[in-house]
Amino acid sequence: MAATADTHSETLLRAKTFYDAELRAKLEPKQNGKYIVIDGESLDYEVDENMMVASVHLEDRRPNGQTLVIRIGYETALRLPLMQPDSYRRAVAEQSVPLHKTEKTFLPLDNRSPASLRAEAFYDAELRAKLEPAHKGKYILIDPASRDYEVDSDPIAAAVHLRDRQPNGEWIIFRIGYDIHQCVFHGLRFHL
Amino acid sequence: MITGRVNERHEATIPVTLAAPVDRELHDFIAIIDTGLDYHLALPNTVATRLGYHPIPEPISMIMGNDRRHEFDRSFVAMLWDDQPMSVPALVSDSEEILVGNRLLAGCYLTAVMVPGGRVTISRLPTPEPQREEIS
Repeated sequence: MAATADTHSETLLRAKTFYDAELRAKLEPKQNGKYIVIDGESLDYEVDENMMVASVHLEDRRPNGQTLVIRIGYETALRLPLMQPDSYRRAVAEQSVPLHKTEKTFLPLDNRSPASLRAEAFYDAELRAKLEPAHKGKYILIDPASRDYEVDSDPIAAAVHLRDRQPNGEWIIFRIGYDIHQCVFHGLRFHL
Repeated sequence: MITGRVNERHEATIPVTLAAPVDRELHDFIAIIDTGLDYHLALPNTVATRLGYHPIPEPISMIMGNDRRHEFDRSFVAMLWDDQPMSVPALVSDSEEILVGNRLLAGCYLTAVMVPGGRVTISRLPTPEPQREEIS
């Protein structure tokens, strides 16, 4: 019988309770930053620096498990398991991706394009005071060459409108009132 | 250049790297190239949710291969595409695979040796990509 949403939630809660009661003191702070994947039914678990690797290894033992991922030491980064293990396993078998990453990687903060930097300079000089705080949380797309821009809570709609006016532009996205450390999209080219 | 492999089901696959918005950590996935998808990316609901991407309010209506209209949730994701960080729209569906559609491939040169294990390559073309109206 397929699990209902309620039983799924209960199983995940059981995994979290197990982590808090039995594992937290053993793993923190020594293993902080690693990921633990817990099967809420069997309470079997796997720890690895790579969330995908932990998920795949646990699924090898518990193929029908209902698993919860916790980033050890990061209470707020509690997530459900990330990967599509079947796809990943096939990819590994076909040698198109390495199973183990040697280290975590992050979207770079310092690899900004000239267009991105120009758009941000334009925003800082001419738009920030005008748009914040009334539009905080909305997205702005800026074409730095024309200095045209569009504000919307839906960035795809903003991009469509800006493309209509600047079809050959390069559209750079920012979230109003947020900086590069707070918004993963800050200063990225929006591909439409 | 992006390189991938043709799998046992004769699907051209490539690695794609998506960033989790909570901490910018990059996660590698295998995606299938779907030239029948007139969008940028299609993400399984589970992957979008677990990465931390939430649907934007207005779903999009699309006509499927069976001529039936279907509504999809949409999101937009931060990713590396040919090592370049960018933000792209994505459909969120109940499929099991990540799909790379035509709009992400626009302006690229795609090759695939269509035997299991065959090489897949995607290179950016040096000329500006044509406008969408010119593609059809």
